[in-house]
Amino acid sequence: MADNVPSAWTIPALRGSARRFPRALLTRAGHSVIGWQETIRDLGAFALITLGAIATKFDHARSLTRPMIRYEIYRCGIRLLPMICFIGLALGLVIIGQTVSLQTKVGAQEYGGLIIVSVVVRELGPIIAALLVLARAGAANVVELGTTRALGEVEALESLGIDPVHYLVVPRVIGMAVSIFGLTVYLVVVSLLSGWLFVFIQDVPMSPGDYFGQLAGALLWQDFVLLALKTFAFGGVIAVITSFHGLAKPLKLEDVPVATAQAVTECVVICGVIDAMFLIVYLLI
Amino acid sequence: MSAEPPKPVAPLVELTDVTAAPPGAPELPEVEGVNWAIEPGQFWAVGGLPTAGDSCLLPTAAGLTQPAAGNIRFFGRDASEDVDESELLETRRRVGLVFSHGGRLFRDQSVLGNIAVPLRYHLDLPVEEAEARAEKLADLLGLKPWLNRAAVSLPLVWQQRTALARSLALQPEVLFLDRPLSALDFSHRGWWLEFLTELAVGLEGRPPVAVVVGGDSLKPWLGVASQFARLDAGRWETVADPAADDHDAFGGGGRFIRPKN
Repeated sequence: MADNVPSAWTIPALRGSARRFPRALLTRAGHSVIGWQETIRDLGAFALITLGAIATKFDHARSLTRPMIRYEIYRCGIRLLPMICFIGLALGLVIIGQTVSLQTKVGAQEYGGLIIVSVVVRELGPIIAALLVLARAGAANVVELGTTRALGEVEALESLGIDPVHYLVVPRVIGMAVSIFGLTVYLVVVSLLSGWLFVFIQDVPMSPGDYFGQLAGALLWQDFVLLALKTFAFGGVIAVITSFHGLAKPLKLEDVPVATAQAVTECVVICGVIDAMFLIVYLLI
Repeated sequence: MSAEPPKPVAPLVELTDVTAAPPGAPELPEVEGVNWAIEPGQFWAVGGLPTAGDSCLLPTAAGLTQPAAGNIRFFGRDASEDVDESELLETRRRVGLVFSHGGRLFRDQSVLGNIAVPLRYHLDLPVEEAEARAEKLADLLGLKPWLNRAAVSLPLVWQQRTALARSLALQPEVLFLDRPLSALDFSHRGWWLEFLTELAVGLEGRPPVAVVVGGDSLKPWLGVASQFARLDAGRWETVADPAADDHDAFGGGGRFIRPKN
């Protein structure tokens, strides 16, 4: 929040009237807009610095950064596979199975593939994978990097001539982006298979050939490209935002929960905005 | 035939009217008006009370923090000029800095890993080769029994040595040490004094390193350092006769300051 913007509580003339609903609401809204504008500016600058580090130093210190990237892929991706498979199973049973079952009752089964692709492949798959990585690894990122900053390890890196963004943030960005893409693919595949399992169990009159044929017919090559772009965007955004909140300012112990909550909120909002942008692209296809 | 006079050697680090302040708080200077040139082969001891500003000045002189005012030159190059990032990196590699109280080791690395990180980052060495070099350096500093331990789990005295080993990995030409003797017992102090003396003249075939140490008192460095300075009330003063200097952590003039009550 900008320090030089007076609030209703500090201006004596307004203090008495601060309890009046419309003015207090306007003041609060104004503060929020200024706060968000500063946050977007700072995050944008940090994102550009990170992109610059990726572009100029991707091949630098490979023997050190490649194992770190592999570790991030393991931490954010492979360790979450069991949970993703479970969620995929549930998603398939609940969404796909129910959808196909209901469509068959109203005789609209030819739209099944389109609905499955639209709901699972284009929307739910990427967003669920992103939210899971955010909950499990994103929040931990804020705490880890905040601790790293508080213990002075960032200055130690700088004193050794090591770029802290290249060493700490870039492996996380690449690791999270690859992990969310991989987890989304697994989620979608498991969902589709479990959906058909539900169809089979419920004895819905649809052969496997019809089911998978509908899916193949509804999938466009653009779906694969946009899925990759969306998941990489989610991974990059989550890594940059959580790293920013861990590294940008020195964190005291009592600040860590607040910073983590703020990072998670910002990630959800910005991922939602990205999702909306991709929705427009899908509508134009 | 007369021999040509030797060319004057540029100082390794040169501070001109520098004001040092904590990072992010340039309006709160701790030391002002520092004029200081560190030349090859010198061993500087900088004394002052714990709040005198040496923990702020040394990172500034090492190029880690921007000075609030004044100018710093590294190896003849003005630090305020626009420099290529590779040149900035090269400067950082030639200047080492050891932090006080444990040296700010990387807590996710072992002792060997901590020492190998700068080698792997700057020289892109494979793990085995970097660790082999790091092990040699660790052996020189008596760290061999601790190699595979988590660095931050070591006692503070051994963490401090690990930090020293890490800063020496890239063979810097200037080494700044912030209060290296704090919290050390007598035997470890003796080791540090001996090791830094050897480092300044050239350790095991390595070139000599210009050493700068900060501390509460100049007394431990008598007979070891060649140049002395003191920070007093935010001002920099070179000390010509450190043996006669009675400013130490107990206050000016050697008097014990009684608490007011």
